[in-house]
Amino acid sequence: MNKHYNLVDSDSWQSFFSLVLFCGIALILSIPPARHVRLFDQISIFSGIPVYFYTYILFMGIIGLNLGAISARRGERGWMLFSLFGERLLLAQFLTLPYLLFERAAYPGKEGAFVLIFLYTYIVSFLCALTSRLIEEPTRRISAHGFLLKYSLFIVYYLAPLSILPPLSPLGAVASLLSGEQAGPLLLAYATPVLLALAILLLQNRQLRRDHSV
Amino acid sequence: MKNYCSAWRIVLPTLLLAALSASAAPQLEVALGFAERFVPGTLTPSCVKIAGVDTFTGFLVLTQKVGNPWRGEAISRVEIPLTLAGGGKLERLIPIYDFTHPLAVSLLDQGEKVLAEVEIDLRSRMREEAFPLAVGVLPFPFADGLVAIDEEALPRLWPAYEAVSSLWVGHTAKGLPGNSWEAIGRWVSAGGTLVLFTGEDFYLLDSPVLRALLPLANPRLSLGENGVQILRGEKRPNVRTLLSREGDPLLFLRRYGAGAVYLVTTSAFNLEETDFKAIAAQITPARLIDLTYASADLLERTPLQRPAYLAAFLLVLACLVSYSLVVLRAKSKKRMLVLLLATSSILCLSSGFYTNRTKAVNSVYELKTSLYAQTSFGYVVDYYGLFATMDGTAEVKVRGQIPIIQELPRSLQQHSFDIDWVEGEGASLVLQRGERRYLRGFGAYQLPLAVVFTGDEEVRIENDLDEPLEEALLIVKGQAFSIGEVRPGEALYYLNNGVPLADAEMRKESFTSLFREFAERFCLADAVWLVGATEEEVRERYGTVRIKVRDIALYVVAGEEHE
Repeated sequence: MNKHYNLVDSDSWQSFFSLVLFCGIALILSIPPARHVRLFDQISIFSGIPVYFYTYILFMGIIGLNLGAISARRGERGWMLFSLFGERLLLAQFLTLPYLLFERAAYPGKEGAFVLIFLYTYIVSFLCALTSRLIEEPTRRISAHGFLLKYSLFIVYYLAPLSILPPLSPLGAVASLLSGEQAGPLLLAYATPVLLALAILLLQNRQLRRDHSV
Repeated sequence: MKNYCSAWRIVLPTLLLAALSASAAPQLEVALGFAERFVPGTLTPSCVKIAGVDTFTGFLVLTQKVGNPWRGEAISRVEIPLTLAGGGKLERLIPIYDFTHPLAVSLLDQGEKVLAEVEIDLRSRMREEAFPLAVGVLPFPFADGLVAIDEEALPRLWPAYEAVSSLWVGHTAKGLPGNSWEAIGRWVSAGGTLVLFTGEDFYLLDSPVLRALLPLANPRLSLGENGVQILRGEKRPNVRTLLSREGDPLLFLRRYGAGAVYLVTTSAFNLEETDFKAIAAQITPARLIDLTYASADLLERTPLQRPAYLAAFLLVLACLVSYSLVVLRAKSKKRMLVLLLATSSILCLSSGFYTNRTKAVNSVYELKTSLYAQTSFGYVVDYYGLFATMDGTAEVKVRGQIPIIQELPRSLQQHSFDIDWVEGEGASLVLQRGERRYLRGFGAYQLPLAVVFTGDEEVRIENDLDEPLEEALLIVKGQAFSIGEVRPGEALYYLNNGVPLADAEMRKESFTSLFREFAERFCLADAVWLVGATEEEVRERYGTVRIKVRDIALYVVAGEEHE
């Protein structure tokens, strides 16, 4: 075990800090502003939008991309790579857990959905980390092409399915989980990142084998 | 020939069996409204006769489609669980909202299989406005749109009279049934208009309920100037003589609660048509007491429960500062990780403790305002105001056998106005985010409160309610005295610092606004009245739907005077 294999260091801390900051802002914005029934319709900037969960899933994805890039730069590989991804992402989620508990007040009785979102977010951010790692691996340094490619894929994954099949997009999936939809869309929501992650693992395995043979 | 015989052997028993089963099939017969007349948007009396069943356990379901594709559509469904032995008759009030679609009445077994079904055309029975109702025999048709019924057909439940603008009681063969009198008394007290023809018909009608309503105390018959029997007696306070004939009073008016009792001192058959017209011109139509506006206003002023912005801000600040400090100060990476986890755990605990039940956002806010009025008759009128902060299904609990009726807007396009009411369980309806819904419910209720005004400065109150009246006013001949809290049990209260009724206020704004709206319609100027109020907040949960119920009750009790 060498010294590079740390859960938190100055590189990754920036990502964690951004996550805590932006999720915090979203938490404040997610509180319903109206104090009385008569004001409910008048003050409604984010009314009905799960602003906290959108921010949470968005920044957990971004943190996944960042951790993937850091990992590629450091040349972390093997099972340790997956273990570090898992632990770092779990730490990121643990740091925002006070917010999630606070947000419970805005969605009473939906504790089950919260657990599902927590799990789903973890899978999505893991997928993002794997994708980022796969894209950055050949260069092992920050490249403009890699950056553009991974963020383009990220935007496409988050936004494109919204108009066709919302549960395929993490944003749509979170909304579906919160609204307590039928099992079909929820299965689809979970299956998408899991299958994508498996496909990337397969690709990564092939890439590693090719590198070894070269 | 042999073949024909064997064929008949099969056909005959089959036909017999078919005939038997047809005769045993349940049959439904439905009578609706007053002589088949009803007003949309009211609780309509209905009588369902079920025949052709032996022992039966199941449901009677009344379904009505409301609206049209332009206005929008909704479904009202009323379900009444039934257990019958050899058929029966069922008298109920059902909300009828519209006349464009027929009312479907179905008899279902426990497996929800339809055993019998009838459809009732409503279009031909509809009246746009409340109509005058005559019971017994009257010699002249005194008003357009008059509906006449037999005294036995009078409804026994007072909310049924909402469709009646004035009830005229003429010559009856046997007087009115006792429970119909009770219902009429409640309706009059709640804002109904009763016109009584007496004279020689008085003793047929005479009953304790009638005596409580009459404008005259100690009534007796005597011959008038023109040789006809006239009812005389001692005028009660606040009774006005509206018409006289040949020196004898002909028409008295007594304000009773929120309603009016018109007493014609002679029989309808002693009057000319011109007299009838003169009497009809004096009658003001019924207007039931209505706290809808005050209730709607209170709903709008209901505070919404949510976590505070400051708390959220402090949590975010605490997270950022504490995590940053740990990362900057921790000497080893392992210690940093442990400290980060420890800090996060502490913040999780604080966050969890803060966001308890009192900070959680409620899905639905229900404001229930109940008016309990007790004169010689007790009744309750409930107003339900519902507001949804998120989509969900609201369950509204309703007491008794009388369904609630919802106020429908002109357009039904925006939301789903479907309503399901199950007798014994209550109503359930679906609310969308930001939607408001208003409903009314009625019942008969005998208030366990007794008030005896024993002198100038003291009053004895016996409160057999389970709870104290948070605040009470005693009104003595137009002067209001605040007597504070009225605890359960019997106690003496002393009166001082009276104010005119118009200036009377209660400590809580919600109580005052309800009291003011009530006092505008209800005659409190004469006699002794106790007005008390209670407020309670409860939280209910149906699956993931959290409902905060604010229950405000206004109690109004007529007191006795013992000088």
